[in-house]
Amino acid sequence: MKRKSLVAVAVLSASMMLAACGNAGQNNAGSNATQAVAQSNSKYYFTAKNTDLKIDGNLTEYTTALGEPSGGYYEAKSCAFDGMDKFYTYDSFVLQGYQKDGQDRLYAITLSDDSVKTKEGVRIGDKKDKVVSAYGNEYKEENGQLIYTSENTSLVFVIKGDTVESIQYTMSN
Amino acid sequence: MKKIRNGIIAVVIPVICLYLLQCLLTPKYATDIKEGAMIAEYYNSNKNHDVLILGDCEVYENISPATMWENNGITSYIRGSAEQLIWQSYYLLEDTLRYETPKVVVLNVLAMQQAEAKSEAYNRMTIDGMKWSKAKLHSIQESMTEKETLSSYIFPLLRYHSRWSDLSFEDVSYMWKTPNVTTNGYLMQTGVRPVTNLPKAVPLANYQFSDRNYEYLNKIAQLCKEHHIELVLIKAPSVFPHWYDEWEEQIQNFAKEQGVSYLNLAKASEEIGIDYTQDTYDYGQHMNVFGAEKTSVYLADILQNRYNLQDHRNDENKQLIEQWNRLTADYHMERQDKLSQAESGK
Amino acid sequence: MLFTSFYFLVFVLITLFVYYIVQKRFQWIVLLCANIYFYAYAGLGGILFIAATICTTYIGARYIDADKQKTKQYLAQEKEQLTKEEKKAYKTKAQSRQKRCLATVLLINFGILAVLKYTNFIILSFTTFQTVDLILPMGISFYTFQSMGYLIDVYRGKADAEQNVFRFALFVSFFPQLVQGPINRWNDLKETMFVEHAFEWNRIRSGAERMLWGYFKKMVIADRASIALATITGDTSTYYGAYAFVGMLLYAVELYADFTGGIDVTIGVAELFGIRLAENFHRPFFSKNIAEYWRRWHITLCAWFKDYLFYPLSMSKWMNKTSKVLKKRVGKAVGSRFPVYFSSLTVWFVTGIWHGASWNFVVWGLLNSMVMLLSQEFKPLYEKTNHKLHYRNIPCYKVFEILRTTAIVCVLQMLDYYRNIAEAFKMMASMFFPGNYANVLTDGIFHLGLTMADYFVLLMGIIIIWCVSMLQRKQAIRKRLSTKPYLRYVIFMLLFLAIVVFGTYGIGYESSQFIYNQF
Repeated sequence: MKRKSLVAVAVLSASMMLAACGNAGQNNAGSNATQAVAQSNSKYYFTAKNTDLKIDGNLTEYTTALGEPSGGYYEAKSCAFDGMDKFYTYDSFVLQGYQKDGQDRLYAITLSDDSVKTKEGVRIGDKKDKVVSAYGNEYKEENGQLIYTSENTSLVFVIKGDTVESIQYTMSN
Repeated sequence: MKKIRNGIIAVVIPVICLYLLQCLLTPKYATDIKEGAMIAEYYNSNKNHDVLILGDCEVYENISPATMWENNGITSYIRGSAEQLIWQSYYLLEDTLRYETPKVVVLNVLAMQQAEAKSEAYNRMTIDGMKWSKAKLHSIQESMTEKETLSSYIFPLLRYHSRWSDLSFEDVSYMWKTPNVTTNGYLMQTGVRPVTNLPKAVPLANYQFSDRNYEYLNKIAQLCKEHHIELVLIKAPSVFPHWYDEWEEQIQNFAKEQGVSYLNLAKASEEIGIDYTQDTYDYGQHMNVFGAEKTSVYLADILQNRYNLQDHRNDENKQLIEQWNRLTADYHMERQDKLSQAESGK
Repeated sequence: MLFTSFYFLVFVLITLFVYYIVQKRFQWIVLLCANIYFYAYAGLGGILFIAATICTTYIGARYIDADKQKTKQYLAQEKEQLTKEEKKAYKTKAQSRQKRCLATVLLINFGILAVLKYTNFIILSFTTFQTVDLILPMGISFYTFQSMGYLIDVYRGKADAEQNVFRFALFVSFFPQLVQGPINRWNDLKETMFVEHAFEWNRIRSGAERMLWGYFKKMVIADRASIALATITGDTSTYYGAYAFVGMLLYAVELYADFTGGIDVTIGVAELFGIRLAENFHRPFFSKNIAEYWRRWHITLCAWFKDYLFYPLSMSKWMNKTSKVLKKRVGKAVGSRFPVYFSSLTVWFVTGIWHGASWNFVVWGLLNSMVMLLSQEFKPLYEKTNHKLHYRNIPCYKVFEILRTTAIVCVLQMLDYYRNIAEAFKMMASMFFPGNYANVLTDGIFHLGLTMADYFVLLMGIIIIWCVSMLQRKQAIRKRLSTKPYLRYVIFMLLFLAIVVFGTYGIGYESSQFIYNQF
């Protein structure tokens, strides 16, 4: 089942997709279309330990490359269905995965402190202007978030006051 | 005359066939995804409950009516369903009031943070089981996601016809009547998966609950007032997903404005005696039977003290006592079975 | 409005109800209103274009017709006074007036079609400009052809010009045929379209049966096949070789079931209203060669091209002259072939581009034409060898011919769905490398979005269609069943239940548009 319902606001949805008991889950009545996996060509991705972490990429490969998550591993099963969301908490970021066609895929990357920065050089605590000068004017502004979208990935900056409070890469739809 | 008769027969036969096909193809939820069977199960109950509990998985896995009876003699029923949204809770309340008027309605508030119906499958599990009424119709209209159609709720065959290739023996044997899968709405979990760590809470851009959710929460409060029902809002005990302070504040304010009670049982974990290494089956998201029983004892005490709920264990209505005794006996049997199964599984 | 939508059925039922309760002389007005609603539902912008076609064609036809009458009258009146030469001169003058009018209206209407449908194609093919946003009115290819056919018939004196513009509007916009044909002729359609129809239970039943058969083909077979086909065409780097082969077969099944099913629904709906539309198919997959195939597939379109393009072109004065010149200068063989070759290739170029505004369709059309011309060239050779070997009398030879035709049609159709020409040829070639056949046929095909059960349903559906086609050879199925009302009832009830259960509709299956909608 497509996670289409998660189109809305990226950061919001990413943390909330489990909030009311799990993700969209899998369709009990049987859905027919299995789509071929499209490789993400988004210009937005995060790099850690020389590994490019791309949304919808193979999560197992990533976590193998990154090693044991220092902050631990957490999994949340969706209500009633088999769907499972997985969280790998590393020093300065959290990887969130989901399952599709029996494979673990990367759903979101959340940067959790200012010791890491995005490929384009923005970190938590930076000013809004810096985001705009690094990423340009092609953003959508919603509820104080700046959302940049390229292909399947949305890069979301939550701005409080004038400062970046949170940075997240997440699936756009 | 003969022509008319033949015409009627020609129409009736396919209608009967369609009905039979619908009975066969609609999912039974008897052994798998039992959550789908819960809403319909209510109509088999005796509908004389003092407490009605509404909400998502945080009620139907965290509160045990059997325990509330054993400890306090409270009669209760949980009309919970997976990812039940606030308006769905409202319409379930409307629906329940067609059959009985409880003294207390308990509503879990986690769903307040979910503004939209996300999944057709969850809609189906909450709505399909309801008997037809205005409440069901409205619930459908409020809940439908983009591709859903009203016609497929009226004729579920239009939705489930593609199950023909997944039919199993269960579909035949439960074609007319499905077995109960819960104890008055409580779905028992007996596994133990302790909390070891938690992912950090991500700051949100917007903590404000949606207008629609407020509208329906208000409607719930209003409907309760009209029927002289005490409304109790709860936040069930869990450590994940994160319950933000900003959310907590909004619920507190609402409760104050409306003059209803609000109990944050997640904060009262210690008082309740929840041990997150023993009492949860999924790393702190929901309680297992041990956690649910503890929560029920705690909640039942508060409800009884606050709202003077009658202890029916000494009721003159012997039938009621008998009925509940049977129910608790079944409950313990199931508990025993599942626990020993888990034990032998180890 | 999709034919497969619940809404369409409700729309038809309501129209039908009103149609049979109003006074009979108003029935055609009910249909016209239904058409307007149907068209407006698809978007208001389109109405302007169809209205433009209706008005220009109507005025043009009236003018030509009036001019013809006037000429005739004048000549009759002045019979005594005029010399033979004067009469001839007057006639020629009148004819050129009519011709100018015809040309103007044709130009306007084909102009609209060309601009709306082909502007972006031309921009993309020949320029570096940005494409432009143009609306494509629903069924424009169909209603333009139908109205222009009417106009030419009036010009040729084969049809009378309709006096009432609204009645003419009904002819152009009749909703069941608007989206995917068939392309009807005025003379055929007016016979049933404008007469009064009393309610007849048998007619309703018969129309409904035809619709059921159409829905069965569309929803159970075509839409199911399209799921796997979409996967195959979606990623040619994974799905080549055996997949391309499977895709080719699936497309043949899908296109056939989709298009003939759609036409069945169209004809069935028209039948409910007592209107008889032209048949568009005559068991095309039983054709023994490509030329025959094109006489049996999409019959009304091919007939249109034949009557209004091929013949006028191949028999034009210019062609005659050119042919003569060529015969003299280049040789007899070339000169005598030129008219047919030139006209065929032109017709098939246009047929190709009519199917879609892209080069793959052009190539597809031209290849079809080339196959036909080649087989014509080889005909003497075939005759000769047959004369010696008598292989045509071998019972299996017919089957061989049918299979050969089917194979050619299927392969050429790959240009339809791989919209990229190079890709299409690459995929055609890849089918001949046996690399992944074993793998795909045992396992791969079950990862295309269809389960074993789905393939089973597909296969059953194909077998049913095949059996029906075989039975049809002797007599129309419904005629045969008319003497066995109980059997007929059981068959159509089962068909109905099969559509409900096995139909590819609802969540989980996205109902796809009829393929011919876009043309």
